[in-house]
Amino acid sequence: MKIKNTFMNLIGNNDPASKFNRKKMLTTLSPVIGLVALFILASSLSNVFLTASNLTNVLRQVSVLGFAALGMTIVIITGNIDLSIIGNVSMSTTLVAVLLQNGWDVVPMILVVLLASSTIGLLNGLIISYFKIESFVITMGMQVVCFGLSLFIAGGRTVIVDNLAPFMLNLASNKLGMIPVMFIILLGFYTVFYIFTKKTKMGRYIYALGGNEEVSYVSGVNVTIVRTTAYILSGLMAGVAGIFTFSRSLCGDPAAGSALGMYVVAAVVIGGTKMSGGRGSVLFTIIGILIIGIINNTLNLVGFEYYAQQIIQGLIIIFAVVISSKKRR
Amino acid sequence: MKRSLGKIVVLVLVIAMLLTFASCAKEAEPTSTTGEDFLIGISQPFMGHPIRQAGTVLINAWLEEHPDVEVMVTDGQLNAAKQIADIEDMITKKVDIILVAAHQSPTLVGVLREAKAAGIPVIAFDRTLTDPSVQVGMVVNDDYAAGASAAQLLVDKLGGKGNIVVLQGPAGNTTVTLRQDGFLSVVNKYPDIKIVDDQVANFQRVQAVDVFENILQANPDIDGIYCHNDEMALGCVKVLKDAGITDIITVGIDGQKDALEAIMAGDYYGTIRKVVEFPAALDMALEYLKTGKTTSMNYLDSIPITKENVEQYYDPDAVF
Repeated sequence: MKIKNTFMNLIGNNDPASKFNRKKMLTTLSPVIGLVALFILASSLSNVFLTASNLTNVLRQVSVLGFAALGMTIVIITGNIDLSIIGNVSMSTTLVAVLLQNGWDVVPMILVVLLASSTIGLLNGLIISYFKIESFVITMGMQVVCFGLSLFIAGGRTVIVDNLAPFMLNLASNKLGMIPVMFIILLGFYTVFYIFTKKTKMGRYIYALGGNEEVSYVSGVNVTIVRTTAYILSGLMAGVAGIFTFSRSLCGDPAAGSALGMYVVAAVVIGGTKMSGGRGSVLFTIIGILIIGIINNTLNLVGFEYYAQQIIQGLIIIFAVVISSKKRR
Repeated sequence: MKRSLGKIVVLVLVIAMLLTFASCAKEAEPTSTTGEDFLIGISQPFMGHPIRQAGTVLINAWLEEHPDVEVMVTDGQLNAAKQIADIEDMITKKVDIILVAAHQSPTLVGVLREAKAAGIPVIAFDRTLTDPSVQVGMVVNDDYAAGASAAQLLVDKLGGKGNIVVLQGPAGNTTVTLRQDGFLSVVNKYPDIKIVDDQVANFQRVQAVDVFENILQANPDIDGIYCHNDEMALGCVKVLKDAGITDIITVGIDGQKDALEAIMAGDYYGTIRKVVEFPAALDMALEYLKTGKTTSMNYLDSIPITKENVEQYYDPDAVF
């Protein structure tokens, strides 16, 4: 009975304990409260924060992180982690550059890049499932493999593309009103993923896997397929992030993904998704990336010393993870 | 209940943000209202190398003498996207002029054109820009020439023949590409010079120690070493010293203080002097802000330094 309740709870269809619970609500809403507070703080610290051009900048600056963090959210909900994302973003960026440099059209280029990045995810999922190893270790190794592949693809140096297609040239700089098109595409992906996780069977299995792998297994869920799906989606989003990284810098930098670093994980946990899996929402990851983007933007605008910036950024990541694990129960 | 409440709050927040967008379409007033105060943006590619730290010391010293100037220094953290974001933030903050050392020059073309469109002049320091039309001046080191000079120094000392190894900086870095291409442009003219190994040690002394120890195991017959910077060269010098090897010639680039000391001690053969761009770049910026023009657009000289001329360049009080 208890197991059944837990399971029903996790797949989130009906909530027997759906009484008003102030503490739980505060936990869920704390990222939103944090964002609002940060918004007010940033506006009072810098007189240029609340200008249209600066807010446009922030949305542009968080978009690549947003694509990468979306994939990470799915993997973290399954109770795993995907550290290969930043390597995969680098690999995809250099692949975009090399394919374009070799005269490929935009559409086949995008398809090949997404296929390659998803394959990395597929490998992650299969290796972790069949050998039953901590995802942390495997994806860490895969990250190094991907950085190596980036250098191999790029021939050891940054790839500069001549005669760039206008589509790629403007992908990151186009705006609809004041909102970057890149961010609108990002919101589109989040909406699709939100519906996928909440309304489809596979989405519910992804939550269930993170809630309790054994319960999922005895309930007849094919754990390997669910986990591998999560990793493929994560790889796919790394590919999308790579395409946008290229369009933002207009060259294939083999180290491009390293900027994302631990921010990918931080954005997810700041958004309230638990590292232990099973709980959280892709929508809240948007809050996470906005919080990180606003902090980095404000630190620049206020003119903090660069070393103070690094310390603050590091402390925020630690703080976010501590909060995430403290509120597990 | 709680879930739907969460959704409502997110919705409200999104609406609030959109309203903010709509309401703040008016741009901010320029930050410097009094004509005499200047805000100079300095976009550094990263802060982890001694030459950047020396830059900071020299910038601070210069600021003491110029109380009417403020600076906004950003750290690109060895990343193109971070540096683009840094410069975007400088444009929003409406700095009076931007000094930039590109981590990857081609990546900055777009954002620097935005700066130009916003009426903010740009001065390149340390490294050249891919699109020089955005700059009003430059104070840069010619890394290609430095690589070629280092090669000549090594080849001459070896008498035009021998086995050499190369330790490179981070793969893909603009400086690395130039220092390597400049080096190869000279070395390729000497068929008896053989590059037996070519590895990356990321400009870092500690990594160079590990990498070079391994190279030495695999290739006992080495005559010369070329490192893309002094930090790595000093790592190799340490390995050679520990192993008691004295007949391998090491050359590097930068001419930092402890490298010159190693040259004086006879442990290190030679280096190519790189000039720290500060305060020259700041002087140029201030000149432009006050007069609307810059006088010089030159490369800084690359001077080979060996034991014969090291005394002339060594300054015990130098910050780099």
